[in-house]
Amino acid sequence: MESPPLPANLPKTLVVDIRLATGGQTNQRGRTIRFSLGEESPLLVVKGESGSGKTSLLRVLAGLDLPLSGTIRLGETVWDDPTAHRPGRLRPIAYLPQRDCLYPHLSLKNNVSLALSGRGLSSIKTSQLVSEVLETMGLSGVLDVPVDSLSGGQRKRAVLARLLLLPAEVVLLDEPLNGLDPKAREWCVPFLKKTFRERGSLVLWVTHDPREETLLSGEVLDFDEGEEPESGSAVSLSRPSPGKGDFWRRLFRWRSGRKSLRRG
Amino acid sequence: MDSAFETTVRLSVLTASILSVVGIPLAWWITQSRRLPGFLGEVLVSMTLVLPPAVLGYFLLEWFSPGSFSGHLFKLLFGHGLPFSFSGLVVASLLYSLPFSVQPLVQAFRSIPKEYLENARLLRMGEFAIFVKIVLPLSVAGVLTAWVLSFAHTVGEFGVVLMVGGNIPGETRTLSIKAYEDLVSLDLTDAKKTVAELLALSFSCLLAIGLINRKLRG
Repeated sequence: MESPPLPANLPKTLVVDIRLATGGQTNQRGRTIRFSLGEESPLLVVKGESGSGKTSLLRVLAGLDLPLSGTIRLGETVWDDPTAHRPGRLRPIAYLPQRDCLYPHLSLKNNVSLALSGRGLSSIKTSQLVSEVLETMGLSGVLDVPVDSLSGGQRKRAVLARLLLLPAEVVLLDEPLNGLDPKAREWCVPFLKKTFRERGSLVLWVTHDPREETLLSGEVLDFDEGEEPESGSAVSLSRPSPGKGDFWRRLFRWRSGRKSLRRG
Repeated sequence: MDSAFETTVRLSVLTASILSVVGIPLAWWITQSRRLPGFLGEVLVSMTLVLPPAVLGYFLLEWFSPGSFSGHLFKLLFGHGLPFSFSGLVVASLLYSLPFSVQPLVQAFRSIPKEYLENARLLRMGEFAIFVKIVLPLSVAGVLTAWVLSFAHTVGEFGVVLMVGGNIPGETRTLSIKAYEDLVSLDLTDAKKTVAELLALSFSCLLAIGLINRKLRG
């Protein structure tokens, strides 16, 4: 399978030193997350109980949410710091969320080819790349099938196929093998590891399956260990309340919040 | 086919179609705007839902009046004054039926899971491509419902139409006004026919909405 073109100056180091809001809207807490990923250790396995903040971390790295405070950098490029935020679409990432996000009105082939839109490829080249990646994922027999008629395992393989078409320096995988049968999992883990290693991508892999963790054999970030999450409002952890002078600014930023962004 | 029926259908089709073109971007802006202007926009669009038609009619006549700047502008644009003309009726209907087009569109856009849009942006799709390839196809039922609802609402207009359009046969006399006129002149045979036409139009609209929901929303 042909790999997408990547910038020549790889590998880079992803440095994360942030306070992360965890626990959802009702029981919001903050915890410090510090790690770096680079050539030496390109894979980080993220594990922990539900609600511990694994998905929140991935969303922050994908530029969909903001950290409470701190810095995220990839090489020399700042993704987040107290004064700047780089939107997700401008980060060289591939993000696989838990919800598979296959568009129900499109066929499998058209869903996957969305990853190539805006790259100026001819329709023949697009079709060829999509067919190749779908063949690799064992989906060549269902190219023109509406995605709603696919099984859970086929849907998961379809989003993995779409992910593989994105040129990414950092790959964010939120429980990527959920819904796959054990045989497919055993094939997928080494295949994905090898593919990302060949491309020089840095990988954050969220899982709560111990077998998957063993197969991955990477550095582990365990959300159930270490610092006890600190209670309190996420906003108060990040910055002091704005004064009266900020009234109009706050009025026109109404509902925009610092924590949740619309655009990735 | 009498002229009131034809005028009503022509007015309603024009209004619903123009509102689709205007309403889709407006509803998308309202859906995407998380700031105060978006919220105020949504409130302003919904104003005519609660505003008495006579009040809207009064403001429109002021706006259209030949002595005003906007009146001059309309005369330049349409070649004639807007009060008591079919064009004036269309402009009035656009404002009066605006919420009936925008509200279903806003609901349809809001029902798209936000992860779909986030994911599309992370796939590096442009905003226009996202709107055309993802948002619109997932909102077909909402777009059609908006068209039918604004059509139906225009069919049933009375107060605004009477104030802005008057009652000129073949030009601004719609079915609602004809039904009223038939009744006050005790022409019950014609009144029955006009009311039956209105009933048929309203029933067809509800039937269409039901079919759209059944077919497209499952």
